[in-house]
Amino acid sequence: MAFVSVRNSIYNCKQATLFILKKKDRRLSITERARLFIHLLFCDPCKRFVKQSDFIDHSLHHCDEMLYDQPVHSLPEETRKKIQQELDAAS
Amino acid sequence: MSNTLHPADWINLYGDYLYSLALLKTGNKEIAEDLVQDTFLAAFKAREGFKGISSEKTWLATILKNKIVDHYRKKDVLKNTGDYLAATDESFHDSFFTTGDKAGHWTPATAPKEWHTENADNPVNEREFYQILQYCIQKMPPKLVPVFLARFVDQENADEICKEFNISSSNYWVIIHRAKLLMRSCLEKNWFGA
Repeated sequence: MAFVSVRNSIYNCKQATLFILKKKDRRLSITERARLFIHLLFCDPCKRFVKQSDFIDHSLHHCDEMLYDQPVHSLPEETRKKIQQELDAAS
Repeated sequence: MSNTLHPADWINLYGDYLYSLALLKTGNKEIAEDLVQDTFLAAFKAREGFKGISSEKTWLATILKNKIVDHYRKKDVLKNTGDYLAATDESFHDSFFTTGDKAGHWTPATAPKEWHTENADNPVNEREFYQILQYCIQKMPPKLVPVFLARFVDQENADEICKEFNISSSNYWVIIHRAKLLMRSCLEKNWFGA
């Protein structure tokens, strides 16, 4: 039945979000791409998921730089002293 | 030109950086302190082997990264991951998606809302933002965390991660999918203030 096959060929949001993520790692097949494209045409929450997922990737990607320029935490003074002593002892 | 090491400056230059990184990844102050200490000592012992190809900073960060992976291994965090994922499959699905006839769609509570990202573009708030990131990593089920960090913080690829943690490709995708859904919803709740 045409109705059934159309329904089966469209991703639900759970599948769509998985393929949104897979697309970052590998090239999707033509069927996967078509299904995802159709889903995204009609699904605003998943469209937002695409943008927000990219935002998360970007933030985590720059985490290292950011924590170097502007460390969020300070290594406690006692630990600094302890490490320095151990380094001195090792040299 | 090759890079050189200056161990005398390490704690001042990289102490807070490595500590912040370790705390982001482990969420535990004592563990983070121990990891930083181990990193500096291991680096000092291995200093003869430093080839100067990467920067001092990158070299130290790589040592820390390996220490953190060892830490997960020692704690056996990823033991029985397959069983864990199978056992929690249904409850995870139900917490994010509809069930029944039209299964697999967002529920009104879980559907992504519009974010106002100027919050995160503002440098004044960056520190706070990274604290929220750290909080959201801590709130994730521990079995998801190592893979999530390897993929999104350390930028490793899927094959490397599957080998490193001895997991199948399908479990890798279940973990990445769950972790991303959880991280997104945690940020929406705690940062973008739905």
